[in-house]
Amino acid sequence: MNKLSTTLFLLFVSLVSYGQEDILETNIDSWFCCDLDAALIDMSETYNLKFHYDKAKLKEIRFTEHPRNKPLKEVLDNICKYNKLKYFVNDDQTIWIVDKWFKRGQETVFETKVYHGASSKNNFSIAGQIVDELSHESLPFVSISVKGNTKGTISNVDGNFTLINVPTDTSTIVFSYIGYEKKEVFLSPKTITTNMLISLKQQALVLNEVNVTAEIQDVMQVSKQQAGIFKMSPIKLQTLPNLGEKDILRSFQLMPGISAANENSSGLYVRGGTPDQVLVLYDGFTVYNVEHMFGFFSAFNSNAIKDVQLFKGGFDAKYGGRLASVVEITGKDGNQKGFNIAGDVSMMSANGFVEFPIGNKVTATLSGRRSWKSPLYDKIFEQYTETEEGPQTGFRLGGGTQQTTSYFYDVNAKLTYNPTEKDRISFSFYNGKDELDNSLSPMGGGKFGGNFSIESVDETSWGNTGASINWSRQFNDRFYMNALASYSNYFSLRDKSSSGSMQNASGESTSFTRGITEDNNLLDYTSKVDFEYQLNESNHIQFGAQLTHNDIDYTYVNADTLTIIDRKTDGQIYTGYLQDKMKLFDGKLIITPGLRYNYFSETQKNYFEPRLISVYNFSDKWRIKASYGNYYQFASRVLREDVTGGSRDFWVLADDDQLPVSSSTQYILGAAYETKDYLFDVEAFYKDMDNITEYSLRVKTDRTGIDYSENFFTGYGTARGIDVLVQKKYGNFTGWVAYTWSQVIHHIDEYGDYDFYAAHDVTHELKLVGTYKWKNWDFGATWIYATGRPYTAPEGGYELTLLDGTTADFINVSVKNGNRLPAYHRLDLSANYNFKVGGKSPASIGFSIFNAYNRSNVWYNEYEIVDNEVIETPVYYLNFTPNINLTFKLK
Amino acid sequence: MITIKSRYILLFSLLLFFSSCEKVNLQTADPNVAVVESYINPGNEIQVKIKKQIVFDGDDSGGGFIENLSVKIQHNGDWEELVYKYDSIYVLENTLVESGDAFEIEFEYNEKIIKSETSIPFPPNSFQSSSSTVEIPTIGPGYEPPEPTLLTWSNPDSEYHMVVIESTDEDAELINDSDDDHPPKTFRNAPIQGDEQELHFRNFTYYGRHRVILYRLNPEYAALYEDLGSSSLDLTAPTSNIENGLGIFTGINADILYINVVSASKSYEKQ
Repeated sequence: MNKLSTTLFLLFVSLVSYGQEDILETNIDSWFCCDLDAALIDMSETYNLKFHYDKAKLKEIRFTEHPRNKPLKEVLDNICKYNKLKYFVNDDQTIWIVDKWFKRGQETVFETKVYHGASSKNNFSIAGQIVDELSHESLPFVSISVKGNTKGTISNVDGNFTLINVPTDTSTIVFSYIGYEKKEVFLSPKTITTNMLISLKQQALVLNEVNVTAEIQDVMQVSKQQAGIFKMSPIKLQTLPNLGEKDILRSFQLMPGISAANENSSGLYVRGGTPDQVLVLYDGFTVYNVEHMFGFFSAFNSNAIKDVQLFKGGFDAKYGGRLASVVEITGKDGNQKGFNIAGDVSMMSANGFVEFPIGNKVTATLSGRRSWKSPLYDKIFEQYTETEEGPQTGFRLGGGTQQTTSYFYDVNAKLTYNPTEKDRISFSFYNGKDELDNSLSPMGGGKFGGNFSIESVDETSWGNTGASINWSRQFNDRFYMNALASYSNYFSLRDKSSSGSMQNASGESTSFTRGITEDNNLLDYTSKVDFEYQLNESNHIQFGAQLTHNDIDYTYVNADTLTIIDRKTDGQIYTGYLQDKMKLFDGKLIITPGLRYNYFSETQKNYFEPRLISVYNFSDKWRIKASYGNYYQFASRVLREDVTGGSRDFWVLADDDQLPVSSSTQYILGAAYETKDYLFDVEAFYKDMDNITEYSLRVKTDRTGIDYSENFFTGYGTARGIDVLVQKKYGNFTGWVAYTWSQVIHHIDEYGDYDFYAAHDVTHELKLVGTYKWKNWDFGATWIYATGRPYTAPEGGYELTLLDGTTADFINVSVKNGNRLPAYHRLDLSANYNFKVGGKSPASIGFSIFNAYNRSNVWYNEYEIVDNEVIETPVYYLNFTPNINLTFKLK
Repeated sequence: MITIKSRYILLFSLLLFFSSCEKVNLQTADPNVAVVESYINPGNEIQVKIKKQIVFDGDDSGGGFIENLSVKIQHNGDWEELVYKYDSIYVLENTLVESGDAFEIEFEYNEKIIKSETSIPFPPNSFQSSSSTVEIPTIGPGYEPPEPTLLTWSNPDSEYHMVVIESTDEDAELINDSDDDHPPKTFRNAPIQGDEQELHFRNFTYYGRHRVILYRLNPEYAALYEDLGSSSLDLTAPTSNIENGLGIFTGINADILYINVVSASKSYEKQ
């Protein structure tokens, strides 16, 4: 039996092969001087051949040739060679002419006209992949829905999708993705249902093109499928005003529920959480440092980013390890169709990006950014360094030269390999660093002819390195796997010390070191695997496992005396999760119960995180949403809030002793009304937080000495609020009004038996964002109003006479965060002119004004005692600051 | 289509969601606090200065004296009341203070009992200088920096010590010209837990005789030298060993030696 099957199979294969050879040997003898579409029609009619291709695309390719009895194979080879195409003969003897990157089995869906015939089947599934039309990069998290009803799904990170229970084979399927033109595919009985290839077109920044009629979409999109998910278009970021750099995280700060009044932090304060409570994933690896230049810019180069989405809360069981929210960033895979290069130059940095295919299966991207000295750079730099204090070195020798050097850079690289139609392997790398060197060069020695030297070091550097290798496989339309191994390292070094040596007449030398050194080093090794299984129309099951090893060291050394803090902690977090996205009541109710389980080796305890996410669509316009979740965080960032030091924070791992594992329970309830052009969205949230940790510079003394390790204070808190969003989604004028009322209360026993407003509590925050497209111009404006943040004001002060007869001032504090700074408000404006260089390379020149009406927003207050009086001096944020930037892309 | 009724239900649910939140217990400050300053050392009477805190943004700029307090000190098991002298200073005379003695202080102010305790450290051991003279060289061709003067003491338990150097000559001669007519005659480092300290010629401002005092200190005094921040971003309460109050109540002990600072071109002055 086996033998017979083998023989039949071989016979079939040889027949097929013979058939293919036969068609391709057809001699062509004709004169073509037309477009390729016309030439293929001519050939099909003359030689009775069947072709399958993208008509619109091949119509644009000129074909001039005079084959004389040339085999079809040679003619096709010639066509494909010069047009980045390939061909193959299908089982039914149809010759497919497709793009070079085309995977056998996939079929591009071209149906762009409504089918008016009768349907032939009902309640069936369609599956396929969604790609960028120009680069053929896969597009993750695209929204797919059946027009006119609430059925829908979202593509996975590789752009694959399966839409179950499509009502009829004459339905219209809508593909919607931020930054791309919405696409409607009109099904017909002839349309394939598996291996569909859907290509979406980027919204052009330059008008007067063929797509001039396409709807212009806003830069931000709110998910219809879940509460609190936003997407931002990296492509359209330049339409928003910016301070020197297009900045993805800064743009998220314009959303409701995310604080925008922290000029010196590009980290996200989401619904009462702090930036370290946001899980930031870049191609799967965790990024621990998201800031450049004292927090003014985020560490992500928007040119290297394909997709970014933010979960404000109520996130899936797939994500964990953080209390507040998740930012998932997907890097660009690279252009599969050819070489491309892009670059930006602004008054802050220069930025380059290159992408190219390597053969038919590999693509690569490389991008880099580095700051450079400019008036804008210097202005921001001085803002942070003019109050810098010298090292605490006691008797300090004068002389030497001080030369400040400061810069930041980041590099992204990604290699994507598609070994088979179902597999995809990618390697992603990121490295970014900030360096500030304010050291005093060595003095002494030769200058004085003597034998002593002294060197004053004042160096601050911090950065992040991350890498991931990822293998994903689409086993079939219903089963998908994504496996990942990653490495992430965050380091922060602060060295403010002086050292030197003295040599006496007899040649004996003594060395000395004074000052402080802080060193924080975090290592994260993670391996994880995620599975998705579409059980049926109603159940989309996701499950997976993860193992993270964290190794975090923090040392604080006072070189005069001793190592004050020396924390070396490491631990493993073992995680498993399961969730089922269920569609009930004809898809109107989408409810996702899930459970995430963790075992943390440091505490040797189990942590269960039940989650529930739900949306009920009353109609295609009205929906309500609710979610509940439990979250634990094992590694936390502790803020020093010492602005003059450069490095202001350090990461620590919970140990269940000084630093317990923090946790939160969140409830979200909301409603949305959405029309074609407008969205009205309101969400209320309530969050209980436990074991929140603050670091204080307070010191305690006892009989044996000063204890510095008691400075981690732990308490509990609540956050509650309402986010309101009104958005105009489409048109020449787009934008939104976002308003948030919130209250974040903390309680830490060490501060006293009372509750206090958290330092990031903002009662009212209003954001107006508008972009207007006029011809080739994009105009943008943002206005932010926020209640002043709480701070701890002095209650008073006093002087003590020290033992050497001098006096020292001491400022005594009032209740924790008992006062508020004045309200913060700011207007930013921008104008971008888009044009094409050489008729095909898009470019733009942008003008931006930060703080257009020069509002003096108070950053913090300085205090000193003068003539028996405590004097307060406010220090302000950036004033009126213009910027210009140029952007260029080859194609 | 959602009905009007269900919209109201939705709105009501949202309101209910927030009205159920618990009341928070926020607090206001009471800046009327006493500041204590007292260094108790063997051989001297006990003096305690008690002032008001300077109130920030207050009508009374503060820092004023506090008189008529009943201040008590416990010494060797007996409580004794201090006598108010002048300028916020309370004194306990005729008390023999010795190394190792323990003291407690207690008084009532602004309806609060303010108290503290301390002990007198033992005097520093084996305090000596590698040289009794510091030479100030003339910097120029062939300049050779002189060997630093090394101050050493015994400190096997890593206790806090601080060196204070004072120029004792009334009409001391300045080493270098200075814009300041009267530069400070005293200098010091922050307290350390080591057992030595180098003195370099550049540390000195005046020629002549200098008193070198080595204090042995309690940790509460050393904590006064911690950087506490001066902006609203990093303000923290100053370290104090006064319960319900501010300031310092500590015992100290000291040893003294003398050195001469001379120009290298002049002959040494012997101590």
